[in-house]
Amino acid sequence: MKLFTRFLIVCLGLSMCTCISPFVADVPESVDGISITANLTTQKGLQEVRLYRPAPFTNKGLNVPIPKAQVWVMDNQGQRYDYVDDAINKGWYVPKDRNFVAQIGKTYVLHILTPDQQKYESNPETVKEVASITKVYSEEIITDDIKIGAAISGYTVLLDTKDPATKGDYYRWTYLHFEDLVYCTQFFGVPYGQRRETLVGLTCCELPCWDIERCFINCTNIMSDALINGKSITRHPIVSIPNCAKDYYIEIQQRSLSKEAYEYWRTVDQLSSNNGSLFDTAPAAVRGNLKCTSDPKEAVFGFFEVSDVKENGFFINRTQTTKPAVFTCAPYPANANPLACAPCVESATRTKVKPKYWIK
Amino acid sequence: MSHKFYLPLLLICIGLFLYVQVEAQDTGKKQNFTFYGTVSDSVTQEPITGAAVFIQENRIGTYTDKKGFYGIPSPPGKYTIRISYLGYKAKILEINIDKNIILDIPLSVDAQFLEEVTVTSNRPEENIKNTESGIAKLSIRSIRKIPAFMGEIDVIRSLQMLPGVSTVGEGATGINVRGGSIDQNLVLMDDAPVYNSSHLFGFFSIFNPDAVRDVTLSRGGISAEYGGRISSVLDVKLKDPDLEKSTFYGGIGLISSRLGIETPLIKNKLAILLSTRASFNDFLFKLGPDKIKNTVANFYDLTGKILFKPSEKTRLSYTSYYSFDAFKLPSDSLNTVNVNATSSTYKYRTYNQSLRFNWFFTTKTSLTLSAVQSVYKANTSVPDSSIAFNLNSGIRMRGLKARFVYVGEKHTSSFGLENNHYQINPNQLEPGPFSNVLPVSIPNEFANESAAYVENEWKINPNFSVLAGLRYSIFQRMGPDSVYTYAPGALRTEENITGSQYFSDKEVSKSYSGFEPRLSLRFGLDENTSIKASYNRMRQYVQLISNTTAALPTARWTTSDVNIQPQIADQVALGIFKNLQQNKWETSAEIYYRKSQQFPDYRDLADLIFSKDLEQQIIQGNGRAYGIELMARKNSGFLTGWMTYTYARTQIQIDPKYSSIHNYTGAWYPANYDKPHTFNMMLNYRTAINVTLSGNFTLSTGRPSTFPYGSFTVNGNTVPIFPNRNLQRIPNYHRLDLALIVEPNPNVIRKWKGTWILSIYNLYSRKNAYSIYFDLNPALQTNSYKLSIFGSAFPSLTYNFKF
Repeated sequence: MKLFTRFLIVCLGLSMCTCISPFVADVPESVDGISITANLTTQKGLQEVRLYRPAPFTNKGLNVPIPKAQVWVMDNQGQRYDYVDDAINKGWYVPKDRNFVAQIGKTYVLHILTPDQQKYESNPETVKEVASITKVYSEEIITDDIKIGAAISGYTVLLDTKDPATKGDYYRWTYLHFEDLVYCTQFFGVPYGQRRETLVGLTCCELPCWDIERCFINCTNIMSDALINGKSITRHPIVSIPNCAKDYYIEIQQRSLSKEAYEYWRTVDQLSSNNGSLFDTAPAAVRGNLKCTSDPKEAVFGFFEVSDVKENGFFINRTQTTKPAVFTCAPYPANANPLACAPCVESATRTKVKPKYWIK
Repeated sequence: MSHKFYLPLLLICIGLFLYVQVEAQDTGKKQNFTFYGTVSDSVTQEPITGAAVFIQENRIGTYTDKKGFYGIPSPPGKYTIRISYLGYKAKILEINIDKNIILDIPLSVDAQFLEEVTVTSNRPEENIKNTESGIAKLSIRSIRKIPAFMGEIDVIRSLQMLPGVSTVGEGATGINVRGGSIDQNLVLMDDAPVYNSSHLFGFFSIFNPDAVRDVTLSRGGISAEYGGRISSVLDVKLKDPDLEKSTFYGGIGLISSRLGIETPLIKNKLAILLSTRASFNDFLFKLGPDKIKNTVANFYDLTGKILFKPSEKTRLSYTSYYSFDAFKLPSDSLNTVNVNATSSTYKYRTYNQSLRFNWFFTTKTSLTLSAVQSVYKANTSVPDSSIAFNLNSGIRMRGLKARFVYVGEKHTSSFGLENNHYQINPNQLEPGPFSNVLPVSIPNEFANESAAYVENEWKINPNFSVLAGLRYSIFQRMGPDSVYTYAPGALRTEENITGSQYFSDKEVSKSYSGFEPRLSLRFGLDENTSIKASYNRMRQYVQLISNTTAALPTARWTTSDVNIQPQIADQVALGIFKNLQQNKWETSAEIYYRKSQQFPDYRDLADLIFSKDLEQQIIQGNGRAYGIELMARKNSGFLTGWMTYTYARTQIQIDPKYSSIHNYTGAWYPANYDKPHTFNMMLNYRTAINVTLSGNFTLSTGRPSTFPYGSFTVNGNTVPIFPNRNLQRIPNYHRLDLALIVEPNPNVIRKWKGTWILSIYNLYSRKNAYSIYFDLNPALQTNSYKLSIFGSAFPSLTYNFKF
């Protein structure tokens, strides 16, 4: 029996090696083509065009930005709107006229002329009106905590809207979170008047100052009205947030999409979650609405998305709750030096401008 | 509709029946008496095919047929009869023929005779003499000699050593035969179709080796008796319970343990077989690394068979089979419903029943009636309360079959009728009580499939024979059914819907029908050489819908309807068969070409689970498969075995007018299971009377895959850029397995017979790729990885007993 047990253990030890080993796939060093991501909306400040080269499919692959291109949008009345290089981000373009917004019902075409004299053009895209957000609210996420039992561990932000009676409405949701700051910089150090090293920060020199947080992974949140046409869209999840001892401010944009744009986003979403197993679905091509007019063979990836935007912002109350709660947010820094401060520098992720729906 | 087509066929059948009757009476007048019966193995009761029965006085004789049956007409008198078969002790009997005599002859294994027949229980020259080509029959005795993976003797895995049979990877469900997809094989277990032949995804097959008698795979000349699938027929026959004595058997293995009993209830009349198998291997995962610790994977199956033989001429058998599989994986690993679950449980079960009545009403004619029911159900569930759901799907098939056979000297004729009714539950999503998941209910599909066939084998002379068959099948999709019509020639999308129609209960919403001719020719060049050619047309009305490389056990079945056309395949094959050194060596070379119409492919990112209008997800195009199969086999001696090489291609072509749903260029591209080169070698070496050492080696081209070549970023997502489908391949596959089988000495008579099987799978620890995946983590050195299921040698020990 003892021998048998030993034998069994040997067998198991050998067998459980379902192993993963590096593999050199035949991946090209560089990829031809261009990737264009462009948004044109009815909301100020959301217009942008990003030009990059596609990267080889390796972990060292970088999407090289393409600056100094000529970018403009033409509407169906022959009006031209020029774009200029963004001051901060290389390869990004913003309208020359910062107040430029799209108008519902109008049709727009994106034109690009890269420094290497390649011309690109989008299909004409018409702005379709999107329904307003009827309600934004949050729900507690309750988990079983070993010590205190059922407790709030986070919140789900949900949204209601009313789908119009017409068929073929497609939606995309994005959000921005503004975090009002006390400390404008954080680092590991010794807090004022203490000895043990921990996370510390320096207060902002100018207050108020906000951090702008965007969704950065798996951000595709789209929906078709195929199954709910004409009815209300209720409890549509936007984001799940951790539980902290501080109210949470969020701005949600509801965007209209064309059917092609919806298909594009759906493909993007599915392709980014494939992992190469035997149960993956067959790989698909990402179909955009842009082409290269000077060289039809040039591969063009990306989409010129034209949409109406309805926005809403609100505070999630995380402080006035009577239920037991577990805090799941990042640690709060201690003050490193009450006499020093850090500046609040305007950037893509930080602002001194008060958010639109900030009512406090 | 159906009656119009049935009537002429029925008349033909009745005509043939009468003709056969008349001929039978004619021959009865010429010869006075006939003696007939079956030759079988004295221990296993397995009928022996190809045993020689010879009357020494007047030097006439015959060979037993596939069911061990023989019949010799003879004038009255006293005769000496010799019955012999390779590997068995020859028997000499004195009989007095003064009337028609039924004589069942048991033969006992000749233990001293160290030669053994591998692969086939047929007589070795059968490959030369048979009209059909592309048929491989494996008896369970020969399957037991192939080194078993994890010690589990497996019918389906053994077939993978044969030419023309392949699989997409270890653990993948089903087999691909001559470039067909897994659902293009008709898998029958005692006449009842099997809709998923796999346990534990695809590591093992659902057939309990203790209950299996033999397995026949027809990939070339497919008999007109079979239809409904376009690529092959795998007929698994279960053992008949022993009518004379009780036997208990079982086995203890690493993966599963088995127990079985065969016992007569009324001696020589009524007997029962019960056999069960269950896996208790969850503890294996508990010992594994953290990520698989919570995995649960279990299965069990029950096989039961009752045989009632009221007389030598009639027999009634009932088979019941139930199998259950459950596995729990962390998260929604298979991406079924796209939820972020903490774990998902998958369950599936097969419940098959068949009732079969045989009546041998003359020495040359027999009638078989059978009724079958096959049920397959799959379930996926997630426990987390906010996204809890139960996803159920299933297929139920009920069928009736009648078959009449006449075996003459020059003609063997058969005809039959078949009717199958299908009820498919495509997918029902039921949310849990507090779940946010919306319920989805796709209406059931109902369909009827009927067929009639006639077949005749004509041995024109010893060198030339023809096997011609004609099958006519009718398929009717029944209501309740609501269907969309699309603009002719246009892509089937929501925008192109031109109208819709509702069909009420029992109303035919669409019917398809057509002839399926089958033809096999054999031309003998000399005693040991023959050339065979065959042509088949097959129609398939029921198919498995899956666009993943390996089909999931939860994949959905569907029938043809107004928009989805049935698949039709035409196959031609040509082969040369030559035996050397008195059948010690068998060699063969076969080439085939198959053209399929309405071969399914799927649109980019097809939604196959919840689509109510599946036709919008499916594109049908052309398929072609062609290849060459070479085989050399040594049948006798201390060393036996075989060696095969297969070159096989499977390709799909879709009209470029559909390029808006995938980059179809109109060029042929490889199917997921296209594996051009395969080399297999299987050797058995009998070192002593009770010790066999066996080994097998397999080498094949890696399956096609699509690797991304570039990426771009959209809104935080890294989006891979793929070239056209299936243009790259994963690395080649090769593996060597060894087994040592120690059986009890057959010369020593004892009640308890124990067999030890020690096997080592993947002897030289090759890390064969199961799949290639990409992980673009900048912190890592490489970005592409090879996943191997078995990265090392896998030894296992099994003990089987019988008393």
